[in-house]
Amino acid sequence: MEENLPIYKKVKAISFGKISPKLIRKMASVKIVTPELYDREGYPVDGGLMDIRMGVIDPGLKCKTCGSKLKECIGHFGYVELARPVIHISYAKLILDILRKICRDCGVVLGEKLKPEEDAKEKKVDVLDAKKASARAPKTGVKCQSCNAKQFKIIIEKPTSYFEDGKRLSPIEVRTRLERLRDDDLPKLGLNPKVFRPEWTVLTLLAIPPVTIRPSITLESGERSEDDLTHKLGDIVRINQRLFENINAGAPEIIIEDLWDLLQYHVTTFFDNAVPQLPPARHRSGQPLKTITERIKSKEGRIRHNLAGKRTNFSARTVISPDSMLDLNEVGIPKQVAMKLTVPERATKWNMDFLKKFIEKGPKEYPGANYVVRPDGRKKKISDETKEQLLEELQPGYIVERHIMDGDISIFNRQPSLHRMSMMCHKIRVLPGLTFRLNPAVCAPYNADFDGDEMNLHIPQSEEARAEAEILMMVHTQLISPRYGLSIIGCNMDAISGNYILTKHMSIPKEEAVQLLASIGVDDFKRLPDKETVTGKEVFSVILPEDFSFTGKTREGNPVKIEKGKIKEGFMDKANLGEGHGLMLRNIHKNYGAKEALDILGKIFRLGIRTLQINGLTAALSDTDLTQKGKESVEKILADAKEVVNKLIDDYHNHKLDAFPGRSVEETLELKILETLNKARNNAGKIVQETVDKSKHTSIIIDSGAKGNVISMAQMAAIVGQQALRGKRMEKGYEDRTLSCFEKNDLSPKARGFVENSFKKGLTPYEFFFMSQTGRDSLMDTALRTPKSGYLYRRLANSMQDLKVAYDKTVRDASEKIVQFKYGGDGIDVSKSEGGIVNVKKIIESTR
Amino acid sequence: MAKRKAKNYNHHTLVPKHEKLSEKQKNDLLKEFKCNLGELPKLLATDAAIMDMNPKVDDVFKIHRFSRTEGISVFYRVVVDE
Ligand SMILES: [Mg+2]
Ligand SMILES: [Zn+2]
Ligand SMILES: [Zn+2]
Repeated sequence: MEENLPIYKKVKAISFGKISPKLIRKMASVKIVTPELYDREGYPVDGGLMDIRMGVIDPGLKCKTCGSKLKECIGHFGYVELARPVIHISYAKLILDILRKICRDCGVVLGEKLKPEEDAKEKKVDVLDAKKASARAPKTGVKCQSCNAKQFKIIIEKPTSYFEDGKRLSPIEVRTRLERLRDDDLPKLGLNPKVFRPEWTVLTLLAIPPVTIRPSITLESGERSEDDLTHKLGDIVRINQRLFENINAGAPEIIIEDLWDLLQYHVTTFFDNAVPQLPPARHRSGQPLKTITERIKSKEGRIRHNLAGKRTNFSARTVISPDSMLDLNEVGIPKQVAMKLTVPERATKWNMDFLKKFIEKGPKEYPGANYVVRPDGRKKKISDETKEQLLEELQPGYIVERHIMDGDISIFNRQPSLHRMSMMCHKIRVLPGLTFRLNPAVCAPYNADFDGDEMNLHIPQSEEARAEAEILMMVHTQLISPRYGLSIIGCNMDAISGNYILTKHMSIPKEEAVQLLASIGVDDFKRLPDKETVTGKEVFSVILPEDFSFTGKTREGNPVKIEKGKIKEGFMDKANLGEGHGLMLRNIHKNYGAKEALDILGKIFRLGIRTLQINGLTAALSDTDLTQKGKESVEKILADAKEVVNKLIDDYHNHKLDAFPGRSVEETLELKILETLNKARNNAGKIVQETVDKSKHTSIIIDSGAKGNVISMAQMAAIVGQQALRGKRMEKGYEDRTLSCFEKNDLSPKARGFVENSFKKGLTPYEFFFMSQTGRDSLMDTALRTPKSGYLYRRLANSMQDLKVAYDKTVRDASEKIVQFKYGGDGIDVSKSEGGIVNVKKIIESTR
Repeated sequence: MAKRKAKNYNHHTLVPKHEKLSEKQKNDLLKEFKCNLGELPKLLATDAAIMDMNPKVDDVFKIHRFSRTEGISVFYRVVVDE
């Protein structure tokens, strides 16, 4: 077949030009001669604006020009002969530029040397240069270098009238002048004579767009309502006719000029109905007509609305909220959504009764159906009236669009869709409520949280699409990130601290353990030791595969040992369970497969959360209490640091301070002070870490890696520390001081933004002020950086979007150019590695 | 700005080793990757890394780069003049 042949040609260049009157006449299928649209029978008039030779807009009719039916015929142009030429509004500025650049008598380009041939060949000017040329427009008094004619100043009276030395130039005169320009001279004006003759910008013929781009609508009353463009064209043709008649009748020049101006107005507003100097043409209702420019321009125009702004059917969007009792590959949807989104199901002799149940329920009851599609493609809405008939009519070959139900395939998405994990396939669960529900463990790949985020849901409509979504996009296929080869989905927050508490501290009666396990979806308790009380480690071990062995490390580097599916040593924390860490998860994935890993992950997640629900987790103010000894040592550290700083300042004032190489004495002082104060803060942090009660929940949250860090703990318990603006201590604000409550040139810590109180103790007013300063700065910083880096990433991703790994392992772009000779320089598939590294030693060991 | 004489950086530790391919090596390379010269990554004739190797347009250079995962990873570039 011919259309299946590949095309071995490339677009080298596109040139834009202006359509010539000759071409307009040639491509037209009708000459429009009358403003009438329909005759008395309602049939389109021959030579009228709805002439059927310009295309079909009624179903059932055939095009008189090409013989095709509705939707196959793309329409055909017509034309009108204008009684007098008019200016094309889009070229008004160009015409002025050209008129000013050429001789009024002989049409030569003014100010050029006399050998135009050589010049034209040498420099090919583009249109932008022509604009520059207009700036050099000659003034009154210049003489033509060729015919010596005196030139005059030409001005434009917007939108379309030209005046030379106070006298109006009619479009006819304008056109004759433009005609005088020789083809050879056109490149000097930035024009390509092959596709653009300047006189074509003064219209003598007007192309009439096909009816297919301005279809009329038949109202319910049977009345026809015409498109805005047809209205406008009607005006043009009517005035054009009157102008013809008046010219032929030899009417006075004034009347002809008036009509001519009116014609110009109508043609101008046909192209652009928002010309600043003209009143827009309006409907009888007073609303402005939408003509050609308005159709294309702006957000509601063809480009941004229709071409760039695509819309999707069978999709839904609403707020998301968490439900950890859902599986990771499920999504909870409200009934209201389930009753709007449908799946087409083809009737066969085996599922007739099944499908009839949906039709019986109809669109208002769940689970029902909204439409029935007949084999000829006609869609029928199910309603109380049509229900009986459709039930009777239903037979194999019909398609029923039934409501989506539990287990149906969907594609779930959160914008911005930055990586492939931003669109994953989930199975539907219809739930009460008005939000989409998802397991909080899948927040990480979507980058979602529940502060009002909304997400989109799509329902694939064909068997093929569903199969692809299930095989390629299901959540478990996306577990391992192709970026760093570790599980991108893992436990977070409560799930981590819960498992931490469970596996580190807890031990519970066996009865409770069974309840706990049952509540997370485990129903086999054989592996739970037969004891009065069981430890958390034993409870956790029940979820692990029976033959799973693993050695790893906790966050702090303590060993974790799992043998034959039992935790022998260590406990669970972020290093083994967390998103983007989770080496234990990675190993389960490798040994037992994606589905099993996802199932286990879901159970681990729920286990953590259930544990916390039983155990409780509360951050109390007393969690940050220091011991008396701790308090004293923090105070001592602070006092020592202050003393050192005071000494430094004294040295500085007594000129005893030696400058660092390449630094001034002032800079050296600042550096030394900063170093001292930071060291003090760090030491205080260490004290806090050592003395704070590790069994307190705030500590557990931090130690397990669920949230927070030791620095913020130290800020709450001991000292907040130095506030820095642009890498320096706080400066100025007032003359030679930061705030008016300090003395001028005070270099002491507290006067330069050192916050020596803790958050718990409370800040002094000036400390509070310094903090608000740095707070504002970092807020601005993030507010400005986020969109910038987001756009940077988008450009990067777009520039690489069609790079692919070819069968010979080279990375190539869309035109087969080589980008890398081996994928990544080393040929490693990161998603099959552990953190980008293939550990050969480990692999050999495991095969022994 | 004063015109400075371009310096030869080829032996700097941070410049990976560049090696000019013989005509035969070049043809083997093109055969191996089933491509033509236009599909190879480019290298400017005036590039400081190859300036003392008398580069001509359409010469192919083999570049030995250090790689943390592979030790030495090779790359090829064809010389172009603009
Ligand atoms: Mg949010
Ligand atoms: Zn047609
Ligand atoms: Zn002249």
